[in-house]
Amino acid sequence: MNNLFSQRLQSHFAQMSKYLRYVFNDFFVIALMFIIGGIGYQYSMFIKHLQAGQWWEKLILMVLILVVVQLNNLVTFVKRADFVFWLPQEKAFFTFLRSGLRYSKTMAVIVQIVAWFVMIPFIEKAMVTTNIVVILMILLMMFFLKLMFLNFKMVDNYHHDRNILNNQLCYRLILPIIIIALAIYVSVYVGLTVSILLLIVSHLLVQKLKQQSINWQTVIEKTESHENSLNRFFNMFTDVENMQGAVKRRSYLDSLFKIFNNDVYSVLYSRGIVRDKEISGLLARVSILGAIIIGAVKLDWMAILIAVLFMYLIVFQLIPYFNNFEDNVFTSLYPISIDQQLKSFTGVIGRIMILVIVVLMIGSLFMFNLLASLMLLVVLIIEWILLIKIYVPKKIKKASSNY
Amino acid sequence: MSLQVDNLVGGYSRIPVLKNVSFDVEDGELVGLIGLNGAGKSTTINHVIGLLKPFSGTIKINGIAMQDDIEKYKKQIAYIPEFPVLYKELTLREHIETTIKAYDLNETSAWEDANKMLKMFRLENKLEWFPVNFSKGMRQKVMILCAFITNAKLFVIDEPFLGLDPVAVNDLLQLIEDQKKKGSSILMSTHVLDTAERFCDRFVLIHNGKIRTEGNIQRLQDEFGNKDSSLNDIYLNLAKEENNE
Repeated sequence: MNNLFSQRLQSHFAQMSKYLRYVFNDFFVIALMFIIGGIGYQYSMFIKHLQAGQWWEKLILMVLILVVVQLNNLVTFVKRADFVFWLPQEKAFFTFLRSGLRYSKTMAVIVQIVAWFVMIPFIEKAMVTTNIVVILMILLMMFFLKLMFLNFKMVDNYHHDRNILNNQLCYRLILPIIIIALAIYVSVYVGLTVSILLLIVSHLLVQKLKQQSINWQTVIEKTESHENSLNRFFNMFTDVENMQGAVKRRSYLDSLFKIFNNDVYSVLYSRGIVRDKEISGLLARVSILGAIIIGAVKLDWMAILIAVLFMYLIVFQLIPYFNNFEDNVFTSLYPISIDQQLKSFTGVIGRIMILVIVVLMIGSLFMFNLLASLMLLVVLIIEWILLIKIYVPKKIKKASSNY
Repeated sequence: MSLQVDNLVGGYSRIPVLKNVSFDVEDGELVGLIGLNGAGKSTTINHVIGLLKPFSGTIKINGIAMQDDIEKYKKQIAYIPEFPVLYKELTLREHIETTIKAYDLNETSAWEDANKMLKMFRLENKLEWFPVNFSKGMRQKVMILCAFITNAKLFVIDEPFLGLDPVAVNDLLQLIEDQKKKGSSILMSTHVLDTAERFCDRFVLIHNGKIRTEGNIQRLQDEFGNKDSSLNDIYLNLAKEENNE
């Protein structure tokens, strides 16, 4: 079983490294550097001007820790066929699932350390302390909470008797809130002790699982949805095999289709992008977030930079959609040339990007600086022309000539 | 007694689909699980193979319930799902090897059986291929092969005939016959009624999550009133019954 797990882990790593190459392409790395630099700068300014020991800081700290301990889920690398092929080895499969639990724990600990490290200056302000022991104890508490989470998640993968403790709401929200509150408001040692106790309880529950039967449906469902969300992320950067987005009807957007052309591919692309849950959600989220940031940032050059970046990121993520209908046998039967298809595609995303520009411009109104807004508009129009008329066609043609 | 289901209440969520289902499969017997779409056939099978946990009632295979010892319980089962599920990264050979490992089979004798079946199903030259890319019928053959090289006491087969060519249907029935002779039991759900009528020793008719009736074809004919009626007629009668409800 250990062998099987390391095989699965290896193939997972292989797949990750294959896709991560596409994720960290030059443009994205530059964008990322800007984003991290900008956020880091803002954060350091924020900490500098922050008065220590204000009442709301502890509340914010609580929420922050609560959010951070939710990061990282239990990964199992289970495959649908395991249920049939490993049917007689259910007990041995505990070892397999436990290896997944251990792997998840290692990943989670790393994430907790990074998040904690970033949070240190804020912890010092909120707790009015520079005592390294207290700060370290908070890290330990985060560890224990996270490990407890993962243990309970493992229990969820089995047919088990439900009780209050292993209810999601309880172990993901209520217990952590109590423990974090104890640590922040009473004493960090009290919080730590309670978290250790719960960790032990959860550990004992995991040990008992050896005698229980695996809830294959849950395990497979969870694993597949985890894989899907990973693939969806990678699909923004490159083509992922077997990607099938969930679709929503959204009849209230039907009138929107009037702005698009009526040829075959314009209809397919516009309907697809608007009704694909993932893409339309992403479009809405990113453009609204961009608008808010532009409105909130008072520096005009910074606002322009951010707007340019957001535009680029959105267009960049839409590019793989060009091949979205490739699996459909009809699209290879249609007597439509790739140039026509490309024209429809740029037509559709060009119009969508005009909508995005409108949203971003609404955000820019809150800068209360007409000149800066006008400048922004001119820059975005130039970027629109460069992206839609030159960059996208070039990139797609290059990609399709590789086949 | 190979499989013994007693007062099984169960389903997917909190709402029970199966209401007090009881039936059994004797050693060396082929029992057909028959019912309309949504009657509860697959749910019953999912309980037997341990995918679902009963709300109440017991399922025992040769006297062992899942609560007693999961491993002992599950080691006795070989399962062929309605839709073939295969590893996309494994070749046909590796699928067979996985099965041998999972069931702790004797490698030589298992491969002997496997080779016989590979030949029977005309798959012998495809050992290094990925079965995921096979046609539905061929993938189903892989599932059948992997199930029938095991020495399981109970074979649970969900709708095996769909997608198989007539020759393969015949071969499958032969394999089932051989296993019966060895004393294994087979629980099979199907809609292919004329085949079921000819080969099943007994039928369990499931309707709205309850056992409507069980027995051999004469018993069913008696129950539904006509000495000459085929399983198909009986089945259509059942459907009519539902419409009148």
